[in-house]
Amino acid sequence: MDFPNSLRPTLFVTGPLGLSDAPDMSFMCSWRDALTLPESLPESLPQHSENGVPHLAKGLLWEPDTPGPLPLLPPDPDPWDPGLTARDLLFRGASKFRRQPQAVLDVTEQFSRFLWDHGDIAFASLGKLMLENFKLEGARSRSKKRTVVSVKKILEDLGGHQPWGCPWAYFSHRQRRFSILGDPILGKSVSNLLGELLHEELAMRWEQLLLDDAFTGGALAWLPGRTPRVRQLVYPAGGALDRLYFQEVRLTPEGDPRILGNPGHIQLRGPVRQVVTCTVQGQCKILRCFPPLLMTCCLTLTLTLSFPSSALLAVRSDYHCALWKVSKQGWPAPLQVLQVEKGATGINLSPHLPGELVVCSRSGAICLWTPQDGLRQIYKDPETLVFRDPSPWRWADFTAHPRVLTVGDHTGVKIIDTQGPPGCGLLLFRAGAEASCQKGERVLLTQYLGGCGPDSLQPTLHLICTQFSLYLVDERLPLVPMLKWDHGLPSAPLLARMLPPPHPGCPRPLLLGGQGGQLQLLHITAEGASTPRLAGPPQSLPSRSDSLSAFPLLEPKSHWRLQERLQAPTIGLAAAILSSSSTPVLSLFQLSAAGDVFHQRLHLQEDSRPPDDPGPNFHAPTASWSPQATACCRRWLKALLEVPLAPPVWVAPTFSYRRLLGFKEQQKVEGKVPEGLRAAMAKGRLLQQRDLGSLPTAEPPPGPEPGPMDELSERLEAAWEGPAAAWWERQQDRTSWSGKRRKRHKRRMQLSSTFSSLSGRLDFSDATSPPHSPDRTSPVSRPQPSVILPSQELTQDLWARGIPSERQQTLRDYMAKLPLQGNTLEDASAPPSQASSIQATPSRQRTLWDCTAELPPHRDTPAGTSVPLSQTSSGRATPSRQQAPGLSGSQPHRKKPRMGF
Amino acid sequence: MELEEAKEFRERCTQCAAVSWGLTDEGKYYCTSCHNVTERSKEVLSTEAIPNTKIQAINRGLKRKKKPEKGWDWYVCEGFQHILCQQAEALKTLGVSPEFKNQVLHKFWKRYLQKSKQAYCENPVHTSRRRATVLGDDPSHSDWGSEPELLSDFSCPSFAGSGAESQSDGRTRKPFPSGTASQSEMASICSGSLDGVDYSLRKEKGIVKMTLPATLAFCYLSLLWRRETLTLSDLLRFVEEGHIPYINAFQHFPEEMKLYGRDKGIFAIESWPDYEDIYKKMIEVSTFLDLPRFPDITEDCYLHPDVLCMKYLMEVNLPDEMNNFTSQVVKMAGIGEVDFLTFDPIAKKEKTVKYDVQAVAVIVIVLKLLFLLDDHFEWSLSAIAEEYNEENKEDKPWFDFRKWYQVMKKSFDEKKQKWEEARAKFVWKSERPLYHSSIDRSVVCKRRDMVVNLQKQFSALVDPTPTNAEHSPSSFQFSWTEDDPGRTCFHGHSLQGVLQRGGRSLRALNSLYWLSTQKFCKSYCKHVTTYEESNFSLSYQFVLGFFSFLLRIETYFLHEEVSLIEKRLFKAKYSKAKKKSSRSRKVRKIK
Repeated sequence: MDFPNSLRPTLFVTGPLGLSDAPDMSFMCSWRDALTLPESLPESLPQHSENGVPHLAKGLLWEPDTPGPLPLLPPDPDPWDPGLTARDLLFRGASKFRRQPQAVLDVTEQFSRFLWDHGDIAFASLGKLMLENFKLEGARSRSKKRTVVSVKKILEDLGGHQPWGCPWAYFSHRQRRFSILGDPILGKSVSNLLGELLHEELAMRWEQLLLDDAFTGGALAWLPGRTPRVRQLVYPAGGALDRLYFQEVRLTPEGDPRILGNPGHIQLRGPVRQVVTCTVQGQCKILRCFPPLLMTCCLTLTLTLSFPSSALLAVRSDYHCALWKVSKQGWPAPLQVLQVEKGATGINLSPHLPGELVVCSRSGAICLWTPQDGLRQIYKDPETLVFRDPSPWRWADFTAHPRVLTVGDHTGVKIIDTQGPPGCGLLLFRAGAEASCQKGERVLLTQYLGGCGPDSLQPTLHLICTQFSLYLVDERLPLVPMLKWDHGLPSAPLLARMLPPPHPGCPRPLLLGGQGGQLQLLHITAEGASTPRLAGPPQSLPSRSDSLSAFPLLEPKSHWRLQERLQAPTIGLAAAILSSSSTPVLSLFQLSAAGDVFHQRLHLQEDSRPPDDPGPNFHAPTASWSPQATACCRRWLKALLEVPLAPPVWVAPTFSYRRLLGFKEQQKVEGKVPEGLRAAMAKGRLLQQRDLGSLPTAEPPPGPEPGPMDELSERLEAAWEGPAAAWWERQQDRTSWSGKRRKRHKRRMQLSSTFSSLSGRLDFSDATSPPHSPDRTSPVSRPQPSVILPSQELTQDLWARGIPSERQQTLRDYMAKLPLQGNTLEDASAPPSQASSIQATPSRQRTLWDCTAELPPHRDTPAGTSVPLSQTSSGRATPSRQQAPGLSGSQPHRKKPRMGF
Repeated sequence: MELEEAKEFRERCTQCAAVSWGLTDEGKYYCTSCHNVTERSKEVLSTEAIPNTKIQAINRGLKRKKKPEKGWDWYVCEGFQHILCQQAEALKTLGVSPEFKNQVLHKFWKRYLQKSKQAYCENPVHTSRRRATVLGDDPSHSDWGSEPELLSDFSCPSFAGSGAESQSDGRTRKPFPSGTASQSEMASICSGSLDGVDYSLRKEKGIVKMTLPATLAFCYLSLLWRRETLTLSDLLRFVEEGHIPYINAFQHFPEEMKLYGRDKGIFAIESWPDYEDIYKKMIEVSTFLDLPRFPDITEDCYLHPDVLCMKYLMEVNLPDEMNNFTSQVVKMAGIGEVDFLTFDPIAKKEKTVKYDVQAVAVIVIVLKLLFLLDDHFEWSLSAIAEEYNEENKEDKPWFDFRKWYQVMKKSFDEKKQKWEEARAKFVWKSERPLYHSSIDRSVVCKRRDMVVNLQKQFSALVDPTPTNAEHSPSSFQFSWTEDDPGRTCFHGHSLQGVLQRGGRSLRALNSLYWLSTQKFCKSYCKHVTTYEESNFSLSYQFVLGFFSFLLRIETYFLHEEVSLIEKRLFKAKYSKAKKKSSRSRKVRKIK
């Protein structure tokens, strides 16, 4: 056996498993790269070109003929019930109080419905017990029993009950009294017991609704017929999907299906969940034949023991599995029926031995089944493979070796040898770190891809689908997938079909169908012994709900019905590729849970451009509905709407209102109002009062009471009139210094910042700096610039600078000897050269002196905040920097002064 | 970056030998071609240069580290006023009369500021709090108490900085008592506005706090006082269409009004205004302001149900003849009287009128009266009308409900899809980055740049053509004209098909009716009724859905209004049950 040359880079894990959960992502292509790098397309990883694997020069694109699939067969005459929907189960209303949307099962509504509908069951026994002591009729008879409460009245209160209504609407004092009175007698046992059971049931239904794995594998089969063109569609239909139909279909060379005659059907005793077929080449001798006891056949069947070439048809129902042999003429002959007590979850036909089946049961048993030899249990494990998972779903399929099978459940897939001792086997896939699975990822479908045809990829490939990704696994290299692709389907991918290549040598299309109707088409290629990989980008095919636009606009009721029908889950998928014509045609059949078969035709568009050039016209061209298609839809719809509909659960009661409205004919006065409205509508503009006529002017509303105006009020008043900046500017001007001073001050500030970072902090002591809101300062200090003794000031600064307290007094004395503020000011405006010389002598006192000397201008130059710095800093500073130095609160607190302290 | 400054550095790069230097934030040189960062920094290098450059360099280096650039010292109410002003200006450009802003809105606003003690009053909140802080200073710091003003004006960063510097000296660290004082001082670090932190912490009873939705409530109150031709739903729609600043309104603040930290919670909003919220807010504000009775809503006013019904009938393409019925319903329900309609915040807190919702509810009731809307009767009536129209092509056509449904459904779906797309495409992030603290600033800015960049890339990939230009604001969302062949206009259609002659006058053919609410909720739950879609006919669902989209309100809200008017209209139906119960109570009492 050949082994693949190389593994995908995505599957290398850094370090031993379990140490790091995440695989090494450094090789991974991200969506970001997808925007920029053409290499990120799956087939063009550089590794492959090194290996000499030729690039696929063309991307494969299937172009749909119509924007959505068309109904192939007339709708089933049986009414279809969509069953429980999420809406039925979930709590409605009151969601606006919840921050995060969360699914809450509505037990109360279901419970109240049950009590309404089956009150006799819920209350009869207790009622009978109570009857001896209580009287509930309310008649005025003089018996010794007292009327506890008038039931008639209570029922009246409850009358007109609306489902999903507010319980408080029907609440009356009488009920409250009664419930208080009756509480100890009525007890809670009934409601407790019932409520618990109900909740359990609802939770189960809800889980089933989220993921219904009954239809895994699909219930639509495509059987070979008399001629290569005429084939048979086998599908279940009917309200309960309990009728198996055999419909002959002829595919024209263009891929158009033509229906031949009426379908034959077999009535079964349970819903059909899965239909599997397998062509049998050559002679096949069936030794024993058991007519299906549990089913009644409506077809006249001629049983011949040998067929030149025939097909086998295996059907899985919930508790039964059956096998038919379908002759080339299209007649099914029943072979055997199997009853599965615990419920069957999967059935598959062997590609190697005709008539050999593998059947999985909910009990965890996997059996080989041949009509000749009967059942043989080959594996049984009630536990799941890898870790504990509550689901009893099991699956089994064949492999390249006729005696080796795969066995799977939601946690992993195992290969077992039927000839080996029980319990042996090898894990093929594990939902875990090896495959870099996400948290909560579960296996939903396993399929053997090798047996699909002569020119298949390698005969050892298996497809494994989880809710997030699809994996291709080679059975020779267990545990590490060959390929992983995030399929992105919004619903569970329970259907997969591998198709033959449209041209010899082409990649093989793989159809992936989600339960919700979404379809994806991928191409898989593996030349020679190389690893399989995706060729070209995956394509999303239109789903059934895309066909809604083909139908005419309907009344809401019909529209809703149609929509519901089109959105029914997909339970079967079949496809055929016709490569005889010039462009290969893909004929796609879908089966919905309502029993409708839809068909869509797709043409292969071979893109000649290299794959690393996803140009703008790479997107699928939009198809449009042809008149034939819409006519087909119309016919189908007509038949659909003939099916009667179930009445709604509740309708608001009507009453006669004695026609309170009268119509006065002569009222046709075109006033000014409609004219104005019409004009406004025509012009698409805003209505004005003058369009409608003038109104008497109303007086303005009362203003605020006159009150004192403070700084903030002034500013608010000013800001209402114009831009707020004007006020700030005015405020600045009021107290600003001459430009010259400002300039000088500025320069000084810069200088000071060179030798001491303190300067920034000094600004904070700036009591009157107006750009800070003046009302922050005390009202006293605001009107006139503060005259504060330098000693006080020093104290302030010393404190701010963290000068040790013992030194502060010395400094204060020193400061007292300094000239007055006015003089210091003069000193402060010393030329920069002096400043630099000061800097050159970094004695502590000197620096201090310099700083303190600088204080007064600071104090009195509040406008310094907005003095542009640019005058000295050669225009390099940005505006935000310019205003930075003087603004209080914005000063960064320096950890350490650069010099001095 | 700062290649200019790096020009004087002329050495070759050790890695790529190129001479192309830039300056990093730390003042170090880096090679622009290979991004190799040298050990040499600008300061050291420029010792050889003239002293002036050196000073600049150091200076610049220092400045660069200054984190929170500080603008004006502004208060939260100033921010709201700025937004209100912007909204008023936007309304003015929409065509609202100019007196609206200065005479009405300003007065309301000043009244609010006064009532909430933020300005225009003795002892506004911000000063009184400050004073309390100072007075409550710990007596142990009497040394510093001599200069309370000065102290209190120290902003916290400097204090914190110096405190950190001289950890050893206990005294220097203590001048400010902890507690409220330091908290309020911290405010300036934690928010761009002065009282941002206080404001978000403020929880006083009886005071309506200003929020962003409240700005719209103010606007609507002023519009209502002016009796402008704008309903609340119109106002909210214009907000949504971007004609009135609301979401990210703070980005138009002046540059100097810095916004970060707690301000983010106050001024940034990440949801669309909701009709119910704004409406409740409006009532709350108006009672807080203690406003007198508003000017009368008379029959000439736009807000009168007759006029509004006419407007909405026109907009939803229903025959003009239906005006006749709507005004009758309005009269019978007694919802057209001045006293009922006029807004009086003090006199009747509970009975306020949602003019637009009420008018639309009247139309729904008329539709129910004429067509029953039970998924059956309306279609059979339209079959009759269709037949008649086929036969008499010359006459005034009869109104065909089915045709109307088809036309409206199509335009409704289109409009709704467009609206949904617009909502999905809406860019919530403001152009002006918001951050919680200055530490986050660079991260936020960088992220913002990345978002812009990504958006550019995606828009280039997805939709190279720019979205069509914004349409001008209009009172009408749909426009119907007689001469549009694709979209039939039903304004001129006659209602003869749904009427029959009874006695002297014409009466509606339909004599049945069903109530939207069978029983109203009692006071236990806060709502009047519930709306469970599946209980009602699909036509009713469609009509409700359509109208509530028109007003951009929740469907149940309209359903509730319909039920309330029905309650006025069919009093007997509701009182019957009540009478019964009251009678029984009496009986019990007699016993």
